[in-house]
Amino acid sequence: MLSQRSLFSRMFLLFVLIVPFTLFAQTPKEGTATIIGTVTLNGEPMRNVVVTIRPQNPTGPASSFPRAKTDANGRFRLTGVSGGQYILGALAPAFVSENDQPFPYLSPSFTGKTVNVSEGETVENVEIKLKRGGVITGRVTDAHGEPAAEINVRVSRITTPSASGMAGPPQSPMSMGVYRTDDRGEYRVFGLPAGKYKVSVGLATRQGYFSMQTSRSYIPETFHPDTTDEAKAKIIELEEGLEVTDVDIKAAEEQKAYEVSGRVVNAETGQPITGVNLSFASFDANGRMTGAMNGGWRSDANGEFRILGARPGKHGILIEDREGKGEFYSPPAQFEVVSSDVEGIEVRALRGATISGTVVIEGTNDPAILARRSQIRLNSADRANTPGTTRYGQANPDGTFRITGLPEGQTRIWAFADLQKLSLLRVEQNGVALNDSMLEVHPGEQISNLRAVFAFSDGTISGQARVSGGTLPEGIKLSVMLRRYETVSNARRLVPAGPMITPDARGQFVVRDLVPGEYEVTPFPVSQNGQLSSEFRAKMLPRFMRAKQTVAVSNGNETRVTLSLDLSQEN
Amino acid sequence: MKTFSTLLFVMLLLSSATAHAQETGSISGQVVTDSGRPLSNFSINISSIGSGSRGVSRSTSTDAEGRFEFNNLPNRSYNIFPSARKGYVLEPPARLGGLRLGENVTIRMTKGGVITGRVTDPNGGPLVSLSVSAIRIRDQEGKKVSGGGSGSPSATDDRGVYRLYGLQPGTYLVVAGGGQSVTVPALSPYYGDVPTFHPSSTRDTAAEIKVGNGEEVSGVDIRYRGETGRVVSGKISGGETTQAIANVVLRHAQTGAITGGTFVTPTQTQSGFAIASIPDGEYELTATRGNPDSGEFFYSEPRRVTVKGADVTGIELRLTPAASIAGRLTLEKSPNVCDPKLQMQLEDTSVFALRDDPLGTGTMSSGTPSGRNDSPDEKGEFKISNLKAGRYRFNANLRNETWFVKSISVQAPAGKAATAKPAVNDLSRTGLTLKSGENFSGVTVIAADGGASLQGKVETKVGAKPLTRAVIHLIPAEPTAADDLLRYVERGLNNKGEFAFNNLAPGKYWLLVRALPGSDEPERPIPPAHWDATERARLRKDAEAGHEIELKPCQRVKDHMLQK
Repeated sequence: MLSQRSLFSRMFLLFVLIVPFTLFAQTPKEGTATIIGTVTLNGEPMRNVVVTIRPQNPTGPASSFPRAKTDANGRFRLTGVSGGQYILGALAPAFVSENDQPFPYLSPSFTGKTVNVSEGETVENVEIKLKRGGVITGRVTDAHGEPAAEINVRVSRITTPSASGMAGPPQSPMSMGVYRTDDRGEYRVFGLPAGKYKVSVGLATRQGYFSMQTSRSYIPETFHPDTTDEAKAKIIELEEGLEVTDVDIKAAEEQKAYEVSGRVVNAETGQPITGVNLSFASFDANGRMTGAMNGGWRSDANGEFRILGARPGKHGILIEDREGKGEFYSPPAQFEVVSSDVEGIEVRALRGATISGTVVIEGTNDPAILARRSQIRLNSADRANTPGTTRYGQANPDGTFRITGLPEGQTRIWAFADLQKLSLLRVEQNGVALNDSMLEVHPGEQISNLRAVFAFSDGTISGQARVSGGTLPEGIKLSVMLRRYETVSNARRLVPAGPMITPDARGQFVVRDLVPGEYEVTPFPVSQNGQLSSEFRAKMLPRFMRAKQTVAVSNGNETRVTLSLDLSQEN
Repeated sequence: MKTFSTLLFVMLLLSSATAHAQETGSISGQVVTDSGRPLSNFSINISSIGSGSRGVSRSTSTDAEGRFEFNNLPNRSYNIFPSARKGYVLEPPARLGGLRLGENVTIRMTKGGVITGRVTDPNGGPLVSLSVSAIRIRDQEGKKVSGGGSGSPSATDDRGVYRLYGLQPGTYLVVAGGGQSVTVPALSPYYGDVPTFHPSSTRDTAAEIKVGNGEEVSGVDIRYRGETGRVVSGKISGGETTQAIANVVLRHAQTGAITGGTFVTPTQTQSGFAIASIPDGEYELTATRGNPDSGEFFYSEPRRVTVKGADVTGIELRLTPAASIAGRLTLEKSPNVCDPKLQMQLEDTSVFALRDDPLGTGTMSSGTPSGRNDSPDEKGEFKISNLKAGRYRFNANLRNETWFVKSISVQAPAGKAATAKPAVNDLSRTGLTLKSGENFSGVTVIAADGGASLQGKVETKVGAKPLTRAVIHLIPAEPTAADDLLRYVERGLNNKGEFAFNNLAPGKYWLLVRALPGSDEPERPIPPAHWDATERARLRKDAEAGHEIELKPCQRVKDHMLQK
């Protein structure tokens, strides 16, 4: 008979399998806008291609959005679109899009086009240009020449500096995803843009970089054709739509990894502590933590734990009880792995501090919105999010919250991001706003008088950016930066309000769910390779800054703004 | 005096169990291919038999030489679960159950079957990144496999080619799209499509593909139909206090196969659920919520859903709390000690509850002796949680074959108001009806030494048709035991006509072989015939003139021949 545990783990496996074809419950309401366009392949219309949209800055789960298929003339018509800003893209996995916005939730090779629509509007002549993707295929063998089945193959694209002379890192590989060999050790990666690639298998173990595989053995990272030295990796030149075969890898000899085990005990009483979540951390030669992994390890009924996969080097085990229900935290219990399993590690648990208080929502009396307080999850961690310092607590329906097990020191409080139209404004202690929501906690302290103030945020800014007096240089895109005025301790300052906004081809943009208040809307140049030259900064940035606008936003209303950027204007 | 000696005996037993529990040891082994080549990086799980919350469960992986070892294991019996990956499947017969400390096992893996083909549209163009899976419907002997499990899905490449490997020998249906997508949900170009079965059909008319170990069946192509499925949507209520995600599952009414499902997070409760890609047909929709381990578990009764040419909306699923049952397993001193060296350990046993569901849609939950204090093993306390409302039948699995379950009853503890219903006492006869959310306690399971076992074979008469599908019933012959369900056993005969019964109470039994109707296993498990009073009376009537055997305490009957 199956044990209960394995029965349920099978059930969960089932649900994991089911997730992919889930239509999430938060289906957006039917809109009245329409987007009409074509999908082309090297200028020729493509039929039977599925086209869909996603919000530019998605919050919450992947919902179902309108989709359409192209007809024999490559034309599509997306109806029922709600007003807003979207990425529009084709779901054509073997093809590469020429558009430049990453398609939310998809791998880096999928991109789309920004489209901005208002309710009732019909946007026409949107063209999605596709190219045929390239293919890299090969076979992986182990050190004994046997096929290496079901191992991960990493394909990285080597990006080159852009043509516009912008400064940028010379050769930083960009992961194009991880693929698996089949039972014969073969792999086939398709839908790749033309470019230079490196292909590798195995676990990256370079200095100062954290990685872990929870097994007794691992393959050290090996690049095509058979080297563990990344500098000696053979570069694959992939031309548009072509196939490079025999990109074989002979993997390096498997290396041993070890099991580390021990016990979690109360530092004061020496008693074992059961059921705490643990993380495995690694340290470099200077004692600096390179990273940590939360692998679902827990101390058992005797307070004991076992963690598999430690490579030779310095490591540590620490309590990582993020759910914030446990009372304990610990500094990492450090040890060194040489060439055998390590036993008897003692993780000394310290009683953490507790913070509690209430959640309030300003700017509304609507009971339905106030009832959403129980959806709010508050997080606490040190500023650097150091492993072991993160705790969270879910608010109760009456607005009270409680987070336990906080390590001593500075902690910052913030809200979990999945809260539509609710934004954390500030955290107060005894009616005084905390600076940057930071709080100093002492060992075992009980802090009970906090107030987390949220705003009902239902304001909208819709804008139009106009460029005159020239065109932007190649590789530079116009984005929009949004900042809100905030008053803390009688000091007025600007705080960023969300990520950079990309206007669509017509220069239009829409930002929703904004906290009421005064905003500064500034056009901003963004380089495709992430960096602006100092010359550009000195000469052009002031012209962007001059075009900024200050506007007021209120709940339920749309604020219009026009940004006029004159590139010819002297400083 | 007698009471005292009983007590002393039990105490002795228990102290020996304690001593056992403190001994530790290792179980080790190696995973190799059928040609003896070591297989590295195979994960191996081990768990103590009858493991409840006090069970031991560990995992490791094989090293570069295919070896694994579990150290410092408490003295129990263990099951090993090796992962089957890299295209390999377990080579039977592998002994992976009932392992004791000090054992070293060699686990042999053999290459499983492979099914490959290409998925194209009606114009012959490839369908790319479409998930394809194989649903196993029969084993290699042609016996229907219940549940319709499937291996891991494969995604088609840019040529439309898929490759499913590591398949257990048997017969499969191959299906593209629908159910098990391997890409991000709503971003698959095929999202919302009804699945297409090989060669280009619905499930009812799908072609069957037979594959053996090491065999590769190629050319299993699919002409993809790309029809849009329907959406089944509605709302759930109840169980909000758990703050847990609810799971909604849509099963095919006839086969029980999962056709679709979704999650509802606490924040989405108001907006409800929607499941897409559903072909026309009859379904059952259920929802569950909560953590099965926490004891705070909610479920809904199955709701029948008919999908025919249109979306189905507005379904309301009400979640009600699950029930639980708790009690204690006791070892009774018996005048018959079969083997003084063998002593049963409570942690090796498990008590289980089976839902007596006349529709045959019941589920099974099991529990283990597990207590709420630091010495549960000695106390033998058990709790079975997450039970749906309904009538349950109870029994216990005893690992040591010389023991048997003597009684399962409710005994009101002296001086304390029992939560028991006064009318119920002998649960082995009446079963127990649990209400939603009920936490029933005070069940006493008594096991005793002196159990018998019976092994044998049913031979068909010369010229008679061989038994293809038959069950053997073991029926107590004593009239006083007519309603003692613990004395009844119903078991399927294997294809050689062999049967084996262990842990039997001594006494007189009738043996009755019955052919089952139809040529296939039913799609869903059917409760044993003796659970139903009318059926039980019929069994006794059919059996009384037939084959009778008396089993003495501790008797081991082997090679018992039976004619049919």
